[in-house]
Amino acid sequence: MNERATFAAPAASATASDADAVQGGETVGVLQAVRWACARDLLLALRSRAELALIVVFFVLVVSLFPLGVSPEPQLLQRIAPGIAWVAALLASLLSLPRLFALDHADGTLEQLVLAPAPLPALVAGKVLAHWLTNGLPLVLLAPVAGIQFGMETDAIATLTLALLLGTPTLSWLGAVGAALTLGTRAGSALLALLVLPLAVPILIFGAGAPESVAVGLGAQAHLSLLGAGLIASWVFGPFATALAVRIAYE
Amino acid sequence: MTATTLQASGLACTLGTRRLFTSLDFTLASGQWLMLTGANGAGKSTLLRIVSGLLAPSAGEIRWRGEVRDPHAPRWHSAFVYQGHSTGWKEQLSARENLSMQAWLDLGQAPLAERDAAADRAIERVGLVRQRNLPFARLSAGQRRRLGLARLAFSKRPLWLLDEPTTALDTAGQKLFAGLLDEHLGRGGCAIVATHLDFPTASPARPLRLGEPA
Repeated sequence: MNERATFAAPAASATASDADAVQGGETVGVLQAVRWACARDLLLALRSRAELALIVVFFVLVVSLFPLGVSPEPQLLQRIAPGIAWVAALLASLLSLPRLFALDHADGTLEQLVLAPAPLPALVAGKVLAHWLTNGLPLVLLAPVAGIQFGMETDAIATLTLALLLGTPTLSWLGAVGAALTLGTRAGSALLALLVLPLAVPILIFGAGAPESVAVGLGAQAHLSLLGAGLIASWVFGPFATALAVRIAYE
Repeated sequence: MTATTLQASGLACTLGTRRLFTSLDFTLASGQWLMLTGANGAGKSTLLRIVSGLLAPSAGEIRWRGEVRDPHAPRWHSAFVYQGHSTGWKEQLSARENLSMQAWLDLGQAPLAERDAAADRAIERVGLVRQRNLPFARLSAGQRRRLGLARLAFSKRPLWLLDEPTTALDTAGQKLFAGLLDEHLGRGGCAIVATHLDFPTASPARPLRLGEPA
């Protein structure tokens, strides 16, 4: 097998004026790319509001099932409330994560993003930011309601909310890497859960530990600092790891 | 030498145990277009993906304006338009929203009003004015293709990589595409078009047939 089709390049008749001529070479900056990708995904999320409501309803349902399943005893519920909120948030984010790249992959828009004249990590960061704003932030805002439902102290509720605020973006990034790695595989969402859940364990431990240590009077400084460190690390490494995983999906 | 030149040398692609092509060479100067033909599965789409940088070739290199192109560099991405089998539009968004979103990436620093005007002109050009506010999901197969042509109509990038752009297009649509291609070549652009059909273009094609043993 050896095809050859070599053409001599004749001098092109480039008679067109400069203004009319093909240019190319215009690239997009990092911040603009983040903003564009985020605005794009927010617009898409707005068009499918029912799916967003689904996540919120799922979170509320899971949280409400625990008193029925475990025991309605107030002291016990008060103690396990932070853990319940975190597990529910983790499951809710797993519900939405498979769609982060799979839909774009299916309709070919991800291909266009990979080939866009903008840094892919920036585009990915915009997508994950939009995902967190539409899927993570609602859970953070709902957490105080769940806390009141379980009769948590005000201090503990504030800490739980803060811990979720610091921890859920990290979950989004872990999920984004997993979602990109499982692109194009069958049963991708089950595989995604297997990939992401073990990695989310530290977030879960420190996230649920923060309100507990407040409740016993120890203060949550250490837990929150670790969650914050995780947040920074995920924003620094997440975009590059996810961009790499997206590229691998195409090779 | 002319300004916009694509040069591929010694390209080879092996998918699994199948060798699609080996030592494939071609060059393309501005104003020229390569008509890529070959049986189904001969590797036309794969070659386009390799040139774009989505796929890495098993061997060989691709030069753009004399330099080996970095497949992941935004600068290289700003040199071409790639349209594959999946057209790359969101179903929930209208034709116009899709196009102005893409215009932002394609036209870079152009101000918003200018981009929207370019998108509107392109929509008029391809005859989608009545459908421009319909969600993309409700367009017919041919109208979906025409939206792809609209993107080509406002694009100022020198290289087009098109995978069967005339599929599902009616005769008028094929003429429209041929007209766009002629204009693009007249402006000094170049193109690689994978196709099974002849379409009425004024610019003679340079043929490249895949899958024929030499």
